[in-house]
Amino acid sequence: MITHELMLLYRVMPKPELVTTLKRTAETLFSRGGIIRKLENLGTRDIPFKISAHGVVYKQASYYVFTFNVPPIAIKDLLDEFERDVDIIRRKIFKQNSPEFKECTLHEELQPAPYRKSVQELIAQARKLDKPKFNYNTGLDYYPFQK
Amino acid sequence: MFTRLNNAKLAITVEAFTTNYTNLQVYRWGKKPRWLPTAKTKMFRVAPRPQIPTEDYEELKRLHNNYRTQIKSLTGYFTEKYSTENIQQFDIEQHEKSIKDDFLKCTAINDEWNRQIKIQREERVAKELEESVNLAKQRLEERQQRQLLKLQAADVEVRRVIEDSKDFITPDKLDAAIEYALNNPVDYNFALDLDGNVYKGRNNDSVKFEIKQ
Repeated sequence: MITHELMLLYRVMPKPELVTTLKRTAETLFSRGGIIRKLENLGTRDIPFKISAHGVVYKQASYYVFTFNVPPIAIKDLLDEFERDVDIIRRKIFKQNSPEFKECTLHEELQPAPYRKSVQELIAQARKLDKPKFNYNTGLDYYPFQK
Repeated sequence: MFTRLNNAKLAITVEAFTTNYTNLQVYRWGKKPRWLPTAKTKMFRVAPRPQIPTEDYEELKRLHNNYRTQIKSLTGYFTEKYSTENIQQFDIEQHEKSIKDDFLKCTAINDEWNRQIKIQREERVAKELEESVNLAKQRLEERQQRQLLKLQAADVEVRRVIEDSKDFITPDKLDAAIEYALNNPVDYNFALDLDGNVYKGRNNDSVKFEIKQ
């Protein structure tokens, strides 16, 4: 069962109208055999760029996220339906990511460059490209004769 | 190869039969062409008999006699060995018998080999069979293990979804959910500083939260 997230940008509306629109969107999801897991309001604010939708240019939008399950075949229909909804400026359906656990490596990343493991690896990689140098095999770290 | 010839100064022949022309030497005559007769001044000259010292003569004669004796004995030996009288009469029965004996001998050796290889093969086949049976058992076990893990994972997933389903927004809960969402905007933005403090919110004006190290 794939959980999807539906990201919606509604045009800025008064509250009763917004409630009706949200209800309509939810009804659409239900009508396609969907289950709504969560509804979130990410606030109303300026959009990063102006968007023209249904012949109107918008500069502000209300952000809403529906988390839902739906048969995969219905995704295309849903997008089609939302595209035709005049109150929706943008719509996008994502697969929900499960949170990934990662070890904290900040203390290592804060070290000076030569102590960082990634930098050491890079240096080792670069050393491989060095030209071979003649080795005198004298056991000395200097050349004992006059050059 | 240098050869002293009758009326020629020097004859040089081809050293070896090869296409390497560095080895090719020209066969040269002296100044006198081959077709000219002996010179008039030398026509009736009688060459003096070679004078060989007595000791040399005796020595040469001894060597010659030795040589002749050895060659004679060798000739006699080979004549005796290869003379047709001494060759055994070809006996067809004897020949066939020897062939048969040889065949029997070879067959015996071959049977012995086959017997040994049969033992080895049976050992090998038994070992391979046992190995493959063990492998199949192992694979079956692994498969069952995998299946079990899969079932457990599925069970966990189903339980989780059943647990989650209490919070699902059903059509009758929809109004309340919409009302709640409208009144409670969520903001996932946050910032971190070098001390590991988290500043939640888009505008960075919220209280900071200590991260538990």
